[in-house]
Formats: sequence, C-alpha cells, structure tokens
Amino acid sequence: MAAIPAYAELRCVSNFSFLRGASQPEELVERAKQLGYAALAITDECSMSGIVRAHTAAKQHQLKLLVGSQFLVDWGIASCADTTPFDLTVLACNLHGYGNLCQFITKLRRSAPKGTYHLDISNISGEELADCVVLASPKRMCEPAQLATVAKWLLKQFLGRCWFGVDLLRILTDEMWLHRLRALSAFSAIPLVAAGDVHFHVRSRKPLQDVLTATRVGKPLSECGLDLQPNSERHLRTRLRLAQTYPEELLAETLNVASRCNFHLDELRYQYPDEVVPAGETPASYLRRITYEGAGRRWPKGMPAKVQSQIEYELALIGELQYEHYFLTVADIVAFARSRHILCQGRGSAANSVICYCIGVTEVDPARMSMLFERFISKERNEPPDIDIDFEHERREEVLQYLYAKYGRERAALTGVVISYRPKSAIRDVGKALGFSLHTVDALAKAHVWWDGNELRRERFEELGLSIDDLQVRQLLQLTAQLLGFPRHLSQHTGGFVLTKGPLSRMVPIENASMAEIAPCCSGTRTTSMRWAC
Amino acid sequence: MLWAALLPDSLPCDESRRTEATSGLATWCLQFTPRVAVIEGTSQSPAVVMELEASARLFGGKRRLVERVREDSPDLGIRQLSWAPTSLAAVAIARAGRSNGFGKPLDQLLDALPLQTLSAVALHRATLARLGCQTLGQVRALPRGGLSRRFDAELLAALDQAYGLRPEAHIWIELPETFGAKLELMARVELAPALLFGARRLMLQMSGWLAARHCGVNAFTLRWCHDTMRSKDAGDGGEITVRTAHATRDIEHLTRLLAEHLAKLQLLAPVSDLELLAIEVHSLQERSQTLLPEPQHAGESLALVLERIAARLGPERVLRPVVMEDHRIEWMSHWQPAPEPRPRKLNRSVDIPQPTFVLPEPLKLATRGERPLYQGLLQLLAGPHRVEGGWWDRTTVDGEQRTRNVARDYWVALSEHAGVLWVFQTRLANDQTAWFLHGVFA
Repeated sequence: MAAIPAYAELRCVSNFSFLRGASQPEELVERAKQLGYAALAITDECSMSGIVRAHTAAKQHQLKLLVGSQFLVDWGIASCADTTPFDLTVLACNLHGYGNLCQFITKLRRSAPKGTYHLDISNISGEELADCVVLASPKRMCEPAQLATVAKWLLKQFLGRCWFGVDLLRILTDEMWLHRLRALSAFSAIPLVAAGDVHFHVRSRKPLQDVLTATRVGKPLSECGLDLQPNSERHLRTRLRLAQTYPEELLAETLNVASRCNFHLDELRYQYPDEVVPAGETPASYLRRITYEGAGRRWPKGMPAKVQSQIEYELALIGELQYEHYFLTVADIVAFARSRHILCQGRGSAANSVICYCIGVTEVDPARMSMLFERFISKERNEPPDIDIDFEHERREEVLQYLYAKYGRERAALTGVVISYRPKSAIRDVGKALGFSLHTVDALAKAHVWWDGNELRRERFEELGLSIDDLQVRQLLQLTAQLLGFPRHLSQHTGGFVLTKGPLSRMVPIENASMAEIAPCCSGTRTTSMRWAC
Repeated sequence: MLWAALLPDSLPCDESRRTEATSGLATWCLQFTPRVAVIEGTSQSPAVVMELEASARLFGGKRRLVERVREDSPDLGIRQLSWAPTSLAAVAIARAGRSNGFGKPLDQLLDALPLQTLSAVALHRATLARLGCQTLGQVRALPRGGLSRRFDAELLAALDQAYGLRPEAHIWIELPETFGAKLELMARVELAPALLFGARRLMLQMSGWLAARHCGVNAFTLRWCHDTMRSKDAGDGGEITVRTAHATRDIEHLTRLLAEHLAKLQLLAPVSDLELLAIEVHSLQERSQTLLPEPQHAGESLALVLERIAARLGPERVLRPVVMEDHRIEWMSHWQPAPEPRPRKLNRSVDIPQPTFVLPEPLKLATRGERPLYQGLLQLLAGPHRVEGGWWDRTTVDGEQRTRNVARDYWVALSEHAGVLWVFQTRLANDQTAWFLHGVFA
C-alpha cells in the first residue's frame, strides 16, 4: 500500500477571526501535529492576533507554522458580470514579507471603523505584498469567465507566487468544481493547491461554530438556515480522508507552498528607539552619565562607596543584557512628566535599583531598604525588566501625546488587549442562539454563580424554572463551557504603550481605537517596553 | 371655512363617560382633518367640531367629503350633523336641528335661531326673554355698549365669533398614541352576535384613528363587561382577539371577521359595556387613486377570503406552504396556518440541484453487497453531498427529548426503472450504515 501523502494546511482560521473560527490556535496546532501535518498556516481574517499563541504552541509541538492572513476581496468599482468576490489568503515567506503583510493589514484596518475592514481589489498590488505568496479561493460555482478574470488579475500582480486554493468539502459539486478549476489552471498556468478552509480543529466543534454564526448573524439558530455551514467538513481532516478526497498532486503542491514560507516569528526582534541617546554618546555611556549626574543630586555631599559599587554593578549587568535603551526611554518619559509637573512615581521591583533612584524613576533610596537588585533584573531569568510607573490619571493623556509627538504615529501605539468570553457573555450568546427567551437568558446570565466551581447547582436552575435534564439546558451548559475563554473582540490596554525604532506597523498590525492606535495583542508577549498602571 | 359640527345622541349621564364618548367621536373625526375640537365638553350638550376646508381636495371635493362624513354618521351615533362657515354657527345650527349653514347668508340664518342654540347666550335666556328677545337676531339688535355692561363679555364674544366677526380659538384634539375606546350599550345584550352593532361603532372610531395615523390593524381585542345584575359564576366579562394577516382598516372586512368570531361565541351573562383595543398596529401603504381601475384589485383579495375561511373553520384547517432556509431537505418547506404572518421573503436557496419530489419519510433501501437497490441495482452518478445539521432542532418523541440532527451523505443515483433518484447513506446505531431513498428527480 502506498504511503499516505504528506499535507500542509494552508488556510485555517483560529478563533481570533471573531465569531468565525471555533478553535483556539493551540488546539489547531496540537491537532495538526497529531495528524502528522507537515505544516499549518494560521490565516485569520485580516488579523495576526492568533499567531503568537499558535507560535508558542508550534514551538512546543515542533510543527512548522506558516504565518498569514486572509481577506475577502471585493471588485469595487471594477465589478461587472465577469467578476466575483473571492477569498485571498496571503502567507509570509520571510521577515520582509511578514512586515509587508502587517503593514497591509494596518492600512486596511486604519481606513475602516474599528473591528472591520474592506478590501477593494484596486488596493492590492504585488509590490506591496512582496515576499508573500497568495492563494485565491473563488466562490463555489462561479462562471469560467469570472474565474478567468481572477486568474488574469493574479498573473498580473503575483506572477510565480500565486495558487488557486481548492476546497473540496464533500459537496455534490466537488467534482465539477475541481474540473472547472483544472481547466482554468491549464489555461492560466496557475497551479492548484489543496486548502481546507479550516474553521475548527475537530468535527465535534461544529455546534460551537453554528453558535458563533448565529451570534454573528444575530438570529437564533433555528432561523439561521443557510448561514450555517452545510456540514462539518471544515475541520482538520485526517490525512487518509484528504488522500481520498484530493488528487495527489494537489496535496503535494501544499508542501511546495509551505516550503516557500520560511518565516519564523522568533526572527522578529524588538528594537528600542534611538532618539533617547544624544549624538556622540553610546547608550551605555549616556546612561552612565545621567546616572552619575543624578547621583550627584541625590547625594550632594558625595555618595557612599557602597552606592558607587552598586551603581557599577548594575551598569555592568544592564550593559551585559543590553537594557540601556529601556532605562533611557523611561528616564526620558519621567523627565518630561517632571518638567510638566505631572505627578509620577515608579513602583514595584524597580525600587530595588539604585540607577532608577538616580535617574529619578523612583524616590526611595534602595540602600535604606536593603532589597535585592536581582529581584528586578537577573541574568538567569532572562526576561525584560518591568518598570511600573503611576501617572496622575487626569494628565496621562499629556504623556501619551508627548510620546506620539516625539516618536511619531508610525512608531508609537497603545497596546491592544483581547477581550475574552466570560461566563456572563458566553451564556448570553449561547442562550440567545439556542432560542431561550431574552428574559431567561438575562436571568441565567445574572445568576451565573452556578458556573463557579465544577458542580452545577440543580436548585439554581429550578429557581429559574429550568431543569438540568432538559436537552436545551444541557446544550447550553456544554456549549458555554466550550466558548469560555474564546476571544470576543479587541480592545485597548489601559496603560500599555509600544515604542519601536522602525515603523511599528511592520512588526504588528495596528488598528484604530477610540482615541489612539492599537497594536493588537501580539505586543503582549514580545515588545513590552513599559507599563503604566493608572 | 367649512366647519362641521357633530352632536352625539343619547349621552350617558356620568361625566367621565360622556367625555369618553365625545373623545371617541373626535378620534373618528381626526381621519379627515387635524383641526378637530370639542366644544363645551363638560356641559350637558357637548359638540365635536372640525374644520374641513383644507381637506376637501384630498377627499375629492366638498360634496364628496360631506357625503362621506354623512355616510358613517348614523353608525357612530350622531344625532345631528351640520355645516357652517364658523364653528359656533355650525353648533348653533345643529342644535336648532338643521344641517345646512350655507343655504342663506350666515347672519340671516343665525338671526332666526332661538337663544338656547348658543350656550353663552342661553345662560342669560331668562333676562333676555324679559327684554323681549326670542332669537339671536333680536339680541344682536340691542346696543352693544348696553349689552356688554349688562351681561358678561362672553356673550358678545360668542355672538361675534358665531357671526364670523371675531376669530375663534380652539384647543385641537391630539391623536392618542394607542387606541382604546369604550361604549356603554343602550340596552343589555344577551346574544353575542348582537354585540356587533355596538362594536361596529367602536370599530368606526378605530378605523378613523388608524386612518389618521396611516396605519392598519393586525390584531384588535373586543372586551365586554357583564351587567352588574349577573350571576356570580359568570365573571366580570370576557374578551376576544381578532387577528388578520394583512394590516387593514377596511371597516367591512373587520366587521365581517368579528362577526364570524362572535357567531361562535356564547355570552355567560348580559353585557352592558364594550371596549375595543387596537393591539398590533402597522403602518399601511397608501394606494394612490388611479384613473384606470387596476385589474388585480377587481375582486376581493385572496388573503381576505382565506382569513374569513380560517375564521370559520379554525386556523389549523387552512394551511399555507412556506419555504424555509435549511440544509435539510425535509425542512426546506413546511405548512403553517394561513392567517399567521408569512416569514420574510427569502432569496437564497442551496446552489445544488434538488429533487422535484421529496418522500414524506425516507424509505429504507435494501442493499446487495455495498450497493443500494430500488427497482434494480442503483448506479451512483454524483456525490457524496454531506449534509449535517439540526442539532438545535429539538423535539419530544414519546416523552423523550431528541434533536432532529442529521448526518447524511447524499448521492444522485440512477435506477433503470425508477429514473434519477436522490438517495442518502447514513450511519445507524452500532456502526452500521444504511441507504435511504429521499427524493425523485422528475
């Protein structure tokens, strides 16, 4: 018996495509590894938010992760009988491609209201998405003439790095569709590749996906009708099933595409802004200078020898770990705040550092408190130091505006934060989808105390006139448990701020917030530079 | 100015009920014009007046408008309907029992009327009579200075206003947000169909209210109160709610529907009071008047006929097929009672060929080897087409809750004798699979 062909899934959304994907990135990665996939692409809709968690999981499970995003392309003004909207999946080949893709998403997100995007075909150009490969997936059953238009456009913009993604999802027209696409491929020389349009990691997640669809459409499930997916085929299928479904060459082509994408999220390195170091100084020398200047102010009668040796020890450690920029950036912000008489105060473990005391971040002489500097920074721990600064909350905005003015809107942004489903919101959405009356949904959500702990309290339900044995209630409990912790939407972090050396939009996508820009949650793990607690 | 005055007949003695009766009448009037007022609402003989000059064109001229108002007035319980150039004159003419205030010049008409036709004058009737005045004309002939010194200023003001020499000011009646009207029946009613007479009066008011709001009614409730002399077990009263599929304010249709409902009703005790409430009100598309009659409106509309039949036979016995959105073929259409509102129009359907005929129940097929049999061995032409869904569709079978969930692989199959078939393979209990026939392509 011939071996089962290898496969890489190139089109898969996680639950960071809000109200669409029904599996966590980690679950997808784990399942893909289990099934022996060669690689898995996480391509959330106009978003990169899922990839950090997928990356962590992929590293743990040693699975090749492809980073990308997918978009619904609209023909806009060019639309006519020969055009049809199609899905475009973009995968980053390398760091440069990743930067391009982030910038592209930023462009789309910034020109649309929060949480939405609109991609007109005239807004895409091959150069803008250099070092990326693309998969076009036209809508099922569009006419050959419409397919030809898409093919022509692909050849013009993405010659040599475009494919047609074929999704065979156990629909009656699968064979006909494959036939039509093969004719197109022969005519345009654009290769076909298998792509599963994956929405969840296992078949049994379909009910949850239905609930998400119902929430998106805003109707109970019984009225959703054709908005629901017709079957559960949009999961990570076993390789045996794939081998039975797709022709061999389409599966082999997935490996081809995957081999073109060699971007690894670890290549992304955070770089501190340069402005804080004046010309003619190195970061180390400048930090040393302002530290000793500060020390002169703190100890006008001359500093004790113990302090001096401590300063030298700290400077050496900071130099070794290359954290000078970070200290200089914080010193700069604090100096600005002081100059405007904005109350500010460093707190937490930073108080253990003499340097923080000298450069004015903290106000307590650490020598008097005899605490360990290693609590603040240590070589062994190998994680960036964390200086919390409290600002007067009425004037926090001034500090933010100063940062925007100094670093420019391209390089400074508020960090985003993912709002996840909590018991209350999960019950509300699942309850509405299952057709509970609004009154009951409200009552259930309010009395969600029964959720705490694993034991369900029968009396709680009976108080609301429901029985735990009722099918509808059982469905509610089961689906709510699955939905808990799912990301629901992006919001802005109360105090997080990102500053970078180069344009930030090349590192993470940025989108609009009510007052400023947000860098979605990517920044959470990699680029934390400072935090405000307000 | 074209003023109409309406005098209600047989008003109840209770003051609050009298106000209700006049305001119901005013509501009806509001369909013709927004300028409707109640004159002397609290007195023994209130009147409703409306100014119709501006509405004449909308209703096809003064004559048509007058006829239209006159047509409904007996059903509404109007004792006298009169027309005059000023509102007080219209009221005075009405109280005098005449209707036309345009036949002669106004002052000639009014001069001949007796004193009690104008309330402000009627107050001083005794004094004026002693002065030898019997008609309004004689009062007017008295010197104005003396009149104003001897009597109050209101007398002169009312006279001037009636004769059109001084502007009139009215507080216009505003259209209530919801409709509810009460009626005290003139006699105790013992048979349900006889309630229709009183109900029709209320429905006329409702139709006026609806017309003024450019709305139609989808559901209305008729409540009745039993007479106080009833037996104890009869209860306070009862109510019926009548629903229609299309919002309407066609009084004939509503009356007919109510009549069908009342015909089946038995009253527990004699009824003394009626109340009508409009429950569901929707805005109605107005149809413009056309020169040529439109062919589709020639007969009675189908919906109205169906509704009447459903009212007579029971709603469960008149059914209408409805197309639904669903991936499961047996739920793509179903029957629902005709009077229930239709779901919104659907434009989407599954984009794969569907069989012309669907079996009421899937028919289990025998198999030979792996292949299904139906009048011979079946040849599978196209497929599979996987349909999964319905886990949310709960039902109770034999007291046990189940879902109508399906997971089927459909195929287009060719049978030598039976033609092209729509068959599916599904998994049964204990890992067995079975074939079923579900539809036939014509």
